[in-house]
Parts: sequence; structure tokens; C-alpha cells
Amino acid sequence: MDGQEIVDVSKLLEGVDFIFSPGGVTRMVYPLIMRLVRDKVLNEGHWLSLNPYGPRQATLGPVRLYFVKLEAEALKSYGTAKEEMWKLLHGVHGEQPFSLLELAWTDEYAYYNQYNRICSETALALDRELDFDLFYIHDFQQLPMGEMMGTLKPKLFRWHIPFNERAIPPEWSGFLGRFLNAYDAVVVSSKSYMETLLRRGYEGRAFYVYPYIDASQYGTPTKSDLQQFADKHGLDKDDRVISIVARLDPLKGHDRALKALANVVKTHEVKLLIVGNGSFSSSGRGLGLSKGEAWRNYLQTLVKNLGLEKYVIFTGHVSQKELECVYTLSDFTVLPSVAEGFGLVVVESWLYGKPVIVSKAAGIAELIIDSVNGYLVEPDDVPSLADKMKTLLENPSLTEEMGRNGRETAKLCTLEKGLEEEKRIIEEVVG
Amino acid sequence: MIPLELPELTAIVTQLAMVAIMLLVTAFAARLTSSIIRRLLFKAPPLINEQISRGASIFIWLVGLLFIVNQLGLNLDLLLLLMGLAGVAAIIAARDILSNISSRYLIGSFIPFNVGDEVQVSSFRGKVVEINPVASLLLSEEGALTVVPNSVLLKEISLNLSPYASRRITIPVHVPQGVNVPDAEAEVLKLCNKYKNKLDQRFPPLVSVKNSGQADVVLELVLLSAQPEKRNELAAELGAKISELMEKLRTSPRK
Repeated sequence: MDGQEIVDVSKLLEGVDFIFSPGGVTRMVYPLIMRLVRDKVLNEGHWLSLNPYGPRQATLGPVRLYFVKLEAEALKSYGTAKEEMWKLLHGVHGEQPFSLLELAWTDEYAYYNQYNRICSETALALDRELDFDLFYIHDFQQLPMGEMMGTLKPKLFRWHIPFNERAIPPEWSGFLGRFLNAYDAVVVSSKSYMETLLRRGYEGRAFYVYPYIDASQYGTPTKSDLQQFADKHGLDKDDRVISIVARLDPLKGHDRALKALANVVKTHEVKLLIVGNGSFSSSGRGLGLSKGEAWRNYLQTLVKNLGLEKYVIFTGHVSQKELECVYTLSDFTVLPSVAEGFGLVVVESWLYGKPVIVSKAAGIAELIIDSVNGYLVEPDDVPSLADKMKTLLENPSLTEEMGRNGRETAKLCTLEKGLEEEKRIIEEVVG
Repeated sequence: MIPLELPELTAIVTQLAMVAIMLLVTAFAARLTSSIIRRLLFKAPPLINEQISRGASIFIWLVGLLFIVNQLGLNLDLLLLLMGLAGVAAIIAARDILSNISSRYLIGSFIPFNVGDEVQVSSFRGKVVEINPVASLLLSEEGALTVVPNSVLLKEISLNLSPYASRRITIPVHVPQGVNVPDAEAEVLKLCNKYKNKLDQRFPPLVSVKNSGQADVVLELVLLSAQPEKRNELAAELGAKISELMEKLRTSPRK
């Protein structure tokens, strides 16, 4: 499709012509636009995003996608700056840069800025042609757009990653504030993030909306689907199953789960499914970074070193149908992230009545009532994680009850609930 | 009544036709000029746009009037005298305005005030919310708006209470036609990185688009000097380097 002008996605065949593999943000935003169009809040949606390899434009029902392209050097530098920024905002400090301010003085940041300028100019050009009513900017990598566009039309920004006091020191307030304050309103994913946002230089209207998913998209797999999935991954009918559904990334804390599993398997027969691949950014097709592959290699070595070969299954990328099989076959799921904007996979797990063990570093920790709909653990507390795993494996009735409670909590994160909140915010911002 | 001869009648009709044509041409020229000015100044406040285009239109009509009077063979001297006197009166009346307009161009460079700064002029204190060609507007904490004619800022001692005013460097960057703006901006930022030891590193460079005309795009680069006394020196050197950079981008083949 590379080089083509406009592609109508509805004429393509999923799995043959393209793979639908949305990340957390797309999984939320795409159904949001579709519902807003269906409810006549929007006539149409115009979506601008980075896609170095796709066509120039694509149509997907009432949504028109505009793909921004960067030259090879700019793409690589942008990717580096974005990854560094992402780590810093998640409180992960490795080698330099140690702060956002240091990052902003690098040549890589100049390309991050360039990408945002291209997006801003493109959005303004489209606005001149189409006369938009609202600019809804998503995620930290597009943060400068509000300030760069300069237009007085309503601008809303959704910050999807954590906004933690621990990760974002007061010294960054000026830098972040100059971009954030260019928006009419900023939406974050939890109440605690909103409180930090207001303490870190943002002076405008702030909202929090829990991320949401379209529950109607999650069906019940047939017996044959389940058998096919089990056969594919070598699962037996009686196997107890724990799952981690997360992209392959050190911040997802798969290593903690493996270390805990090494303890659990001493007394329990159980399989751990590691579901997911590296992100687009960390794939060879994406920004040319190899984080996902490197993390997979590390985890595979760890599995070997811990003697867990017969207990751990790496499924790689799974289709929606296979994902439904994962949740159905699991006893419970684990999200041991070191840092996590929210953690919609927890909601997915709840939709299937499966409880969760969640790291306190995840935004969704705010919705976990310990021992009621899941367990909370400190991200580095491997023994506690192992204990909670054992508790759930040993008490099927407790597991079932917590799963039922989780299903109730999941209602806070459904598309219907999110839509209601989003409509309210849009109405307030657009007027 | 003296009957007119045919040649005389023809001359009068021709003259009247000429006057009519000149009136039409003047009306068209005034309208065209007004319309061009409106388009050129589309980003200016509507009231200013309206006044400038009206002024230009009046000027065109006055010139047209002179030609018409000349065409009719009337004495131009008295009309020129009247127009001259009116011009002098207008200049005297506009003296203050002109003084304010010329002062406007010193604000930001020699008078370090920017929109958003907290300033004090005489006994008036407030945040600068607008610097227009005639006056600077200060908004006090109580919500009162003080209008300070720009020329007053040259005559009166004023205080800029914003902590970084003494170190702020503002450099206009003219991106030539044909040069890609995002590319130019990236190169400017990379250039600034080379000077980072001379700059306050808590405040990374900020670039914004100030004017996006057909000929070129004007960006504004804002930086903070690490030392106030080096501000002008740094601004001059960076300004020169940026001009060289833009020239290089203009002449280099586009990727």
C-alpha cells in the first residue's frame, strides 16, 4: 500500500490485506469516534497520525486517516526522543538524559519538535479546508501541537500515560506547563493523575476519565475455538492458566511474574501465558527500535535460567478471537507493570469474570479493592506476587467471586460510560 | 443664451465623458486598494484593518480628485493648498499616534517588555495582555485595564517584574520561500543546542510561527541567556548564525 494516495479500508480483508492490531489508545479512540458519529455528535472524524509505511490517506467508514511521514533520519531521531520522553515520564531513569529539560536540548528532540510541527501544519491546513469544530489531541508524543497550532478553536488534550508525582518533578512544570496550558482542557486517566497535573503547572480545566473499551467487541469463544487455541499453544484441558496480556516491554514487568512463577510452580501445576508482541514503535517495521525483541530474548533466557520452560508459553500477537480464548481459559490475570498509564487489560479480564493481580504502579490500581475484585502488589514485591498467585490458585470459589466483583467494576470502564464523560467534556469545551 | 457650436459641445461632452471615466477609474482603484489591504491585513484586528483600508481609499479619491480638477481645467493651486493644510493638520494631530507607533518597534528589543510580563509604569502595575501599535494594555490583579501609550514607555522609568525579562532573547527567523518550515525549525533548534552552555538550560528554546505570508514565514525564537550581560551579544551572534543557516537552506537543493 506504500505510496498509494487513498485506501478504502472497508474494501480490504482483515488478516489478508492488513492486520488490525490496535494499541490501548487506538482501542479507545476508534470506537469513540464511531459512537460519536452514530450518536450524531460528530458528522465525521479526521485522524492524523504517524505512519511511515502506509498510504497517504485511508478511509474507515466515517473516519478519514491522514498519515504523516518522516524521512529516515528524522524518523529515527523522533523515535529515540519519544522513547526517552516516555521513559522519563514513567519515572524510568537509565543513562542520560535524566530529565525532560535535558532531553529538550538534544538534536533528537529537534526532530520530535519537527514531527509535531508537521502535524500542526497539516491539521491547520485541513482545518482551512474542512473547518473543524474541535481538535482532540491524544498522547504525550503530540503534546506540543496545541501550542504550535496557535488557533483559538477548541483544543482538548488527552494524556494517556501516567502523570505521577514520583516521575514528574516540580522542575519540569514550566516546560510541561507551556504546552499543557495551550489547551482548553486536559483529560487524564485517573483522579490522582489529575491532582498531580494541577500541581505541575497546568492552570486550565482538568478532567479525569477512566480509559474505556467497547465491551460488545468481546465475545464468547466457541468450544472449537478454545480447543484450537489450546492445541496451538500446547495447553491441556485441566491446566490451570495465568495470563499476562501486555506488549513486550521492560516496563510491563514480565520478569517479576516469571520470578514469582518460579516460586509458585514448586507447589502448583500451572501455565503462564505471555500474550503480546513488541509495540509498533519497538518493531522493525516501526521506528526501527528493537526494544520488544530484546525484551523477548531476555525473558526467554530468564525462563531457561529459572527452569520454567514447561510452564511458560509466549503466544506472540493474538487475534481478537484468540484474545477471547486467552481470557476464557485463564484462572486469573496478572499485570505486574513497573509503570502503567492505566491498564485496560485488567478491564478485559474482568469482562470475562477473571480477577487480577495488579501492580500499584498502574493507573487502574485506583479501581482495585484489595481482596474484593483483585489484589494489589508493589511492583518490586515478587514474594507477595507469588503469594497472591497461590491464594487464587488454591481458592477457586474466591477467584470466582472476585471475578464477579471485577465484572461490576468493569462497568466504570465501558465505552458507554466513557462516551458519556467524553460527551460532557466535549460539550463543555466546544460550548 | 449663447448657442453652442457643435465643436464646443463635442469638447464639453468629451470632457464630461473623461471626468466620468476618471471617476469610475478612481472608484475602481479605491475599491481594489481597499480590498487588497483588507486581504493583506486579514490577521490584524478588524477595526485597524477597516481604518487602514478606509484611509487608503480616501487617499486614492483625493488623487483622483486632483486629476479630475486638472481635467476640467480648473485652478489646482487652491485645492493643493487646502489639501496641504489638511495634511499638515493631520500630521500634527497624528503626532502622538506616530510617536506611539514608532515606540512600538522598540518594545521587545530595547524596551524588554513582552506579552505575559508583569510590569510597572508610574504607579500602574499589571500583566501585559496586549502590545498594539498605539498602546500597551496592562491588566491589574483587580481586573482593571490600564492603557499605556507606547511613547510613555520611552519617557517614563518602568519596571519589568518578570524574573526572566533581563535574560530573554527574542530572535525573528525569516524562513525564505521554498524552505520547508518544520525542517528549518529543526535546524534552528539544533543550532541553539550548540549554544546551550551560554543559555539557561532550564528553559529550552521555544519557536512559534509569527507570520505565515506568501513570500516567507516568520518564526520567533525565544531563549534565555545564562548571563544578563551577555544577552545582546548572544542575540547578535545567534541572529547572524540563523540568517546564514536560512541562506544555506534556501540555496541548498531540497531533499
